[in-house]
Amino acid sequence: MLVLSRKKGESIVIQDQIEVTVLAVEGDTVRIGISAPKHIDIFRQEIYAAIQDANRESATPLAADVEAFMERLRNNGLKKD
Amino acid sequence: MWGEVEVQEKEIYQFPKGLPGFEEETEFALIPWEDTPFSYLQSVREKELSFLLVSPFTFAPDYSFELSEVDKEELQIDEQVAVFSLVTIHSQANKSTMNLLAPVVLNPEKQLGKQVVLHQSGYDTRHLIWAEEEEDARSVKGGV
Repeated sequence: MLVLSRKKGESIVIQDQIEVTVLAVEGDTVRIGISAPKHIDIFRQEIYAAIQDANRESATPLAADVEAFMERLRNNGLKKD
Repeated sequence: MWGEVEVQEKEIYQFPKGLPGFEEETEFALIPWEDTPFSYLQSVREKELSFLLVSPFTFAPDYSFELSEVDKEELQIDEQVAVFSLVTIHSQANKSTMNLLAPVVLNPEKQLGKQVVLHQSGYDTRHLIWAEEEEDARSVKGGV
């Protein structure tokens, strides 16, 4: 990993399109500003990881589990619009 | 998942960025599960990869969000839009969840799709599908 020290108000540039600026430092919290082209998606890492995890868990459900799920649904009366 | 399935071209959606965790998968078929609010999202390239989708409003009628301008533009949304949540089926069915934080948004006209992230919406990746009943069962309704 590349490690750089930056002070409040200083930036780094990634390629020529993404600029990351340290806006404020308060205790162990750092506020960061990011300028990037709008097609670049930006996430808090833990949120992206949570979505990846949820997706991996959702992938290709076992037929038996789907069957049990639909059974639970039927017992409930299938709500439909 | 169920052997050979014939898919119409109009059911195939491009996901240019893939799905988080499956970034390489950029083409999926949307296969409705008849007479249910569910659909399958089947990878075109990887036949072993599919997801169960549900219309989130079926189980969370109050669910709402505003699609960002950037996402609208990326999906080239003009008028039509469809929203689904990925279902995680738990081996104990009543613990199954749906992802309300990152819905799958589709443009049926352009056959484009994206799993969008609702930043700071307060929604969760693992919302219990039968959350309301669980609450009823414990009679903790009311309050906040």
